[in-house]
Amino acid sequence: MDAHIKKVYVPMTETGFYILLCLQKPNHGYGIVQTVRELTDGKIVLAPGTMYGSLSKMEKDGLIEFVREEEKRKIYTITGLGKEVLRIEMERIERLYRNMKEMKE
Amino acid sequence: MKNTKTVFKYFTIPQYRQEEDYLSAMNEKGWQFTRATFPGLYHFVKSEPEQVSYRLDYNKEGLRHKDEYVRMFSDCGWDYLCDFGGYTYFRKVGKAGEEREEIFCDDASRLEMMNRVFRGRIIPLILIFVLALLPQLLLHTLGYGGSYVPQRILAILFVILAAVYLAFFAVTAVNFCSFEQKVTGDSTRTRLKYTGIFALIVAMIAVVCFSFGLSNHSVYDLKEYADGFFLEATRLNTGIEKEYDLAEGDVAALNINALEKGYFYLSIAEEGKDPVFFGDFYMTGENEVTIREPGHYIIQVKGKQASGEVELIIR
Repeated sequence: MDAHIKKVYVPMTETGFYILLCLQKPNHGYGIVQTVRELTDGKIVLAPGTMYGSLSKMEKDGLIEFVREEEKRKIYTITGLGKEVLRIEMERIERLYRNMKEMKE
Repeated sequence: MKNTKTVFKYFTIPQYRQEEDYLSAMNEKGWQFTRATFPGLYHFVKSEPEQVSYRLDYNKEGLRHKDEYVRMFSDCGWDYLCDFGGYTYFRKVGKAGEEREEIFCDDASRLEMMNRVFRGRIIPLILIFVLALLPQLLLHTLGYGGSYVPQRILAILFVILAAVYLAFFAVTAVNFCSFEQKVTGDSTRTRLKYTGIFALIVAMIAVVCFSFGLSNHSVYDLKEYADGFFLEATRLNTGIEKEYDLAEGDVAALNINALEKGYFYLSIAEEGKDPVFFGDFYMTGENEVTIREPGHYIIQVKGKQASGEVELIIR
């Protein structure tokens, strides 16, 4: 993993994390927005400007790739590099969660 | 009563928030925004007063893939309106009491939009200022060996324009800087960054002024006699004025020769009057001017990268 990817995506924004999480199965931008809304009981509603910018940036950086187009919606899926970044983020968040639990009492 | 209305309104590039609020306010007054056109005309149609949110995005990538871009926004409930000046305008009819809904949900993406605006709109302006406006300003104020009236007007216009640009850069730098500070919370680094950018602009200005000064430098030799002068110029970029009291019947013989490059402008005029002689580099050779009215005359030689010899003899 090169320095640029590390600098930009480790750690990454909540939006970035949810995009990679959702794209383990091919999906389009709005599909991700809906999934995240359901996952978080409407607490997190990803906004279109952020989504469009993040998806094109992540595609350019090779974390996700274009699969096909359906009704003018671009469908993406995660790449090998994307999976690697997601794994690092998951470990970081798990550590955070574990530490939070330990320190809570 | 008319059903449409067009308003000219000026927003500087980073003032898109103010622009959004303005469009919403117009909607509340019963004027629905339809589109914006050059050079800042906002078109409205009469409508019922309603709560509408307007949002501007700046995304060239999106403009290149318009279908998918607009689809992303329409899926999220934002209707596409128009493109103007690199910005894309969206609207959403909102219920009262709802908090301001944004098209960006995190600061990182807000900052990225600011950076896109900076790259797409501000950098070209800086380049225009340094590479086009500034050289013209210098040329019309310091160049051409002093200047004639039309150039003086141009010079004033360029000075005003340059002042407007500089003020704009300052306002923009402050806007960008305070926005980025708010987003990143890192005030020292951000202030350093914008100070650096501003220093870079100043450095570019200095380089342009310096190279202009080098090319505008004059090299010449002027010999004065009781009845005239002899000017030998390797490079003349200034104006030389000589004053003589001439009587009726005097002949001013101007000899222009050995012109290799650049331009000479010569004039013989009584103080405050139209010239009795005006010549330029086409008049190589000897030109004789017979004075009809006695008076105090000013003989002027101006040069623009001029090389050659000019001789004046009063007979």
